[in-house]
Amino acid sequence: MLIKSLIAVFLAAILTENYVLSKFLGICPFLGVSKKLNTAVGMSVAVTFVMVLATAVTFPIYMYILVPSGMEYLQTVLFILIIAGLVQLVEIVLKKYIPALYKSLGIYLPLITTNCAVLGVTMLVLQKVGPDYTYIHALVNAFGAGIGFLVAMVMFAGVRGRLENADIPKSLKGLPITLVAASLTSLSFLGFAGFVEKLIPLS
Amino acid sequence: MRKKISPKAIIIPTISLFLICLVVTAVLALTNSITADKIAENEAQSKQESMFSVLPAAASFEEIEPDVLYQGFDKDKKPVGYAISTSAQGYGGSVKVMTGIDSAGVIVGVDVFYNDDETPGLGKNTSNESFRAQYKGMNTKEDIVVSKDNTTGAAQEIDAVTSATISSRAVTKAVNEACRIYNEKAKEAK
Amino acid sequence: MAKRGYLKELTKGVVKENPVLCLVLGTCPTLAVTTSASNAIGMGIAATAVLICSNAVISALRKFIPDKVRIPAYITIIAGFVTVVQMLVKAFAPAINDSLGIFLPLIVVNCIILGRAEMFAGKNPVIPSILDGIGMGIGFTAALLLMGIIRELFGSGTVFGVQLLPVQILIFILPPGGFFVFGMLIMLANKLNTRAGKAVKTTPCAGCPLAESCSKRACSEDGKEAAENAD
Repeated sequence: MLIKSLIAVFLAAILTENYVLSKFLGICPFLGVSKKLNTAVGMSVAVTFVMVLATAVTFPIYMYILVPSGMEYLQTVLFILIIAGLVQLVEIVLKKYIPALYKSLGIYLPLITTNCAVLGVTMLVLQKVGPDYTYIHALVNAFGAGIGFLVAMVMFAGVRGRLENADIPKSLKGLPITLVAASLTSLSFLGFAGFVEKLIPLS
Repeated sequence: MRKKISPKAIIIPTISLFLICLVVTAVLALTNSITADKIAENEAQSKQESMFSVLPAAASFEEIEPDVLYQGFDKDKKPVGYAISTSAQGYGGSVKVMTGIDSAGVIVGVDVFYNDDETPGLGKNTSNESFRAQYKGMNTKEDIVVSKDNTTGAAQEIDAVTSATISSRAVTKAVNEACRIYNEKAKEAK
Repeated sequence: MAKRGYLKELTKGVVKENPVLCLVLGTCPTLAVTTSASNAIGMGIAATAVLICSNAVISALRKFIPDKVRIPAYITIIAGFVTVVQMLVKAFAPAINDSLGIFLPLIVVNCIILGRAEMFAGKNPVIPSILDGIGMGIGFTAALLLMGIIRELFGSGTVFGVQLLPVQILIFILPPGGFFVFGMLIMLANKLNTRAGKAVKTTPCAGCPLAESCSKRACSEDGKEAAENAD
């Protein structure tokens, strides 16, 4: 039963509650970094990593420190500082101990601090807490959100690759046609409605 | 190339950042003390409004189970039924429903007091009076089914909002859950 | 920086350097909260309030904030104001809180605010910074309002809740519609800008406030190996 609910959470985060295409979070990197496939993948992996790490740290802090002391209003300030700190930490650790990984992922890390998808996921998982939704669900949700980001980025990189060779009217060149392409990509994801409930019936 | 970092270069930035954090926290604590009561009042009020709307005969409510089960009394302090708050997973998130059931076990009102995660124009239309009115008059003895899913010929069925089957199913599920709570707990409390 | 008239600081954010349509900042809320004109105004006002306050404070403290902790300090101050605005809205305008949802606290990572702090308030005196904040805020709200009116009109047939059209093209208030309308508006903005002889942005990273600390390779067109960080 637990496995089922975890899979449902994971799939929903990618398909029906995609952070980029449905929730409109993480648009700046989505539009800016999806031009080439390898930068798209690199950014998405870094984002996923930070999302899971950030949720892992902020969730217990909120539940066991902020709520009992009645200081929920510190959520925004605390979370964004934690994320900024985590990103710095990850950058330092990568640079020192895994330089190869730093070379491929590290350059995206500073951008992730202002990525609204990361702050968004840390806050949104807390809104779902209930009898069927615990710490482990939050972590899986964060992971799913990152993978959803990856899927959107990779798909979009493919679309943009094709756009390079297309004959585009002058005024649509650059951002406008990119946004139209994004609108079509988002449209295709609307087709997943109801997919997760049918696949993983929980009741 | 390693640069020599003097202790001063670390301490001063740290202290100033710490001071800024301290001031910000103080300002937030101050604002919180000013607004916290009003915020709690707002939340309580919207729930109250919902309860009164689903059980119109009630003049006051008594909490039986916090956040879930409330017994309604008219102005002569006679019990007139229950307001039950339940939720179910909808299309974009949870859907929160308040169901009013009278002493005869008949549903007298349904209010969808949270469905902001549903699609505007589609799932959000489950808050419309025309959809919610369908539940009025149904009993708590049998489950309610969305007509689209009615494969067993169940007696109590409602029509989903067009193109919003998932949201409609969610509301129905929440109402059925309220009926279940009524059957289990409200009857005992009588 | 050359001395500019105060009026210029105020108006540049509305048209010439409109944060949403020209600098391409704050794209997330632009897409998410423009499903109705009233949501758009709510967000615009909230963000403008934060922008003006944070610009003012950051500008006032600009000589005291060490460069090393510049970004975290800015973030803390901005987050503080966002939380204050959030609490005030929850207490005195709860309907706006419900309709803006998660995007109210997300104002803290709205690139417009951090961007103006980094590029303007951190280097300029208080009064121009406040004017910059007001101007950029008005520009942001105007762009949001424009998108909000278009999407609400075609998507629900209403404007500010007043029924104007009998038909509803639902897609406009769904995510694909958001991307599409935004794309069309940028196209219009580009058309106006090229006619005025200005360069158009092809990616949003150029306006991003962290573009200097990020080694910019992440946004580059060719994605070559990262330049060595000098720190």
